[in-house]
Amino acid sequence: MIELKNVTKKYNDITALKNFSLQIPEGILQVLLGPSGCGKSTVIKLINHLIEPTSGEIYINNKNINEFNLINLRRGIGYVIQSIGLFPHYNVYENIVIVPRLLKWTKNDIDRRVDYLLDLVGLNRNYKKKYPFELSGGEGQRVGVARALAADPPILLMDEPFGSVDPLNRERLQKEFYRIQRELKKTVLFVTHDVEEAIRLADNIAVMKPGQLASLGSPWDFVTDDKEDYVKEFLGSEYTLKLLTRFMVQDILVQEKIKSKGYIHGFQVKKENTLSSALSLMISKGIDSLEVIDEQEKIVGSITFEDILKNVFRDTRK
Amino acid sequence: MPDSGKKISILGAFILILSFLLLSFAEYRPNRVLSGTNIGARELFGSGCFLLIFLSILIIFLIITNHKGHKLIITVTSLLIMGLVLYLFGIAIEKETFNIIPNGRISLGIGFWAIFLGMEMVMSGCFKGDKKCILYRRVFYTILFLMVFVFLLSGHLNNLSIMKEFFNRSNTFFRQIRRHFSLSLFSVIAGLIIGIPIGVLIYKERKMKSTILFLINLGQTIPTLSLLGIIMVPLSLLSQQNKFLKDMGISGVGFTPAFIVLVIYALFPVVHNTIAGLKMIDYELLETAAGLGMKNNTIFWKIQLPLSLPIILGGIRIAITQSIGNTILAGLIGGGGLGSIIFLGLAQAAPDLILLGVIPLIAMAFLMDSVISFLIFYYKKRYLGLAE
Repeated sequence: MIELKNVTKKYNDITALKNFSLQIPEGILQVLLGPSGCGKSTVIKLINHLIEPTSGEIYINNKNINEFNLINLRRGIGYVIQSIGLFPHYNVYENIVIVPRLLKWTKNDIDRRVDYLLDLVGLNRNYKKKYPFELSGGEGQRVGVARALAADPPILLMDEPFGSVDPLNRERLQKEFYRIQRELKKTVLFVTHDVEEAIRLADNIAVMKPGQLASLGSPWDFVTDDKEDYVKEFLGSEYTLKLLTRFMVQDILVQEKIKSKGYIHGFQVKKENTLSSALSLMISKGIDSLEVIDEQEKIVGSITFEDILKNVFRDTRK
Repeated sequence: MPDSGKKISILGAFILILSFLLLSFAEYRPNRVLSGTNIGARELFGSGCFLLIFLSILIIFLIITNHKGHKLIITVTSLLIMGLVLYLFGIAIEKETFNIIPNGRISLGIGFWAIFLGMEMVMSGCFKGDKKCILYRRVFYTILFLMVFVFLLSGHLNNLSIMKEFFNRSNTFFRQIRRHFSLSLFSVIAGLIIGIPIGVLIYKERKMKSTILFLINLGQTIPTLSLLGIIMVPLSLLSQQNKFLKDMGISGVGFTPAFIVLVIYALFPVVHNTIAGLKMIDYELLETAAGLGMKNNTIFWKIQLPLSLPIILGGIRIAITQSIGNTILAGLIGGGGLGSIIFLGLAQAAPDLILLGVIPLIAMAFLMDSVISFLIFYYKKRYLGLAE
């Protein structure tokens, strides 16, 4: 668990962070969402102690970070930054094994770990000998994630990790990272300014305004009307539509109801597609129902516009 | 090749033709110091001269037709001209006409140097705008040097005055080359041992920057010869008063003052390039390294030093070529090296003796420059993906 208590950080006269408090429970992916320059990265650098808070305390597992050995603290935290931060004179293998080597793992353990990590982030094992300049932006970012995970740290700090990747690759990386996080259950602090990215990945979202926390909650919590204007404005009026990307068709496919052929228009969605893609198909074809197919392209049911209206956000709409 | 390159190349080829037609390729003197008579290419090379002119015209033809594969043919033709000149020259000076007087001297004429100029122009125009221009030209000059070297070794040119000078002092010649090289090299190594830590220190402690850089820049600003004079006085006083220093062989003349001056000169490029190399590294990269849990020491040795290495090597390259040149001055104060041959030549007004000192000097500077350039090129390409 990571906890920041009333943390203030000043650079000379500029206050980057003011009385900032945040708790990140274990195994939770906490997104820190806010515009550029609001102090998001400052939060991350405070946690791995790259900078010192002006006042306030930071705890990791209920222990003040000042009581940790600085070097050991950092080696226990995976760190990914936007510009990838791969060392250009190290090949992929050497970049990934930095922390395990610092921790003096055996060669065998390191090799096995690298193979595991490359499989995990979806890179071919023969990439080991490649240098960063030979990688595309997306591949480099995967190596960055693999390096952060190398020594299996319980905590991950990610500072706009997919910020410099093109939209198509970014979405793929997000999906894969979502899968990895489901598998590994790390405690993650993920900084971004991209609302959709926050929605896709977050267990919890903290929206920041300059220097301060504006609002905190799960992605569904932000659908309600009781948020302050700044938060609503930042998240945008299409927030609810964007939130549909979090749902898959199969999530609301409660029972296998196959309607009569006349009712169905012959348009199909895969059950692992998002609800937003199902909805856009409905809108573009001017229909209100779709057949749902599985991996073998077998029809397993159908969804209607009504199903989406009724089932999604059921709990938040009180 | 671009039009401007074409013009330069054609001009170069014309210089070749004109030197074969008009300039003197050899100077014949009855003895070492008297002035002599000039001998042109036609008289010296006979019918071979026409072959040389034909090859030069061929180069012009190849340049004008401008075909991609022609660059290689032009290069080979240029090398052929050079080889032919050396070969014909060797045959010509074997002739009896030049060997009647026992002390007669035959030395290289201005035409010989003019074809170097012409060839350089042909080559630079030929590869102008080419990405690998520097590489090709280095290969060309390496072959050229090797060719000259082989001709010299084979004994084909032994009748040449410069070779006679060489045989007169062959034992000191090689000793002076060794001395020159080791004086240059060790002064640069000492410059590195002192300069790199100073550069790192300045990079880390900005406060000291202006003071230290002022001193180092001052060292570079004072002319070499003056600096030598400034060093000699306190050094000779010291060694007179201190028996230990005197026993060590340290005195106001000879090796020590030359060495100190060369080290001071080597400091400038080394310190500046070390600072520049370290500054060039992205701050985020260093923060990432710290964020991964690297200690400051590890960051320096594993990240900062390797990443700034190409720039530091650039500094070493400047330092060593500069040092090879400056080491000439050691000859003035009894420090040895090729300078002692050159200054002897100057004192005796014997141009061939000067040449005997200058040619290995140029070769040495060229060689060291090439070796370090190659190291930088290889390192950048292999580890940083930066192709020049």
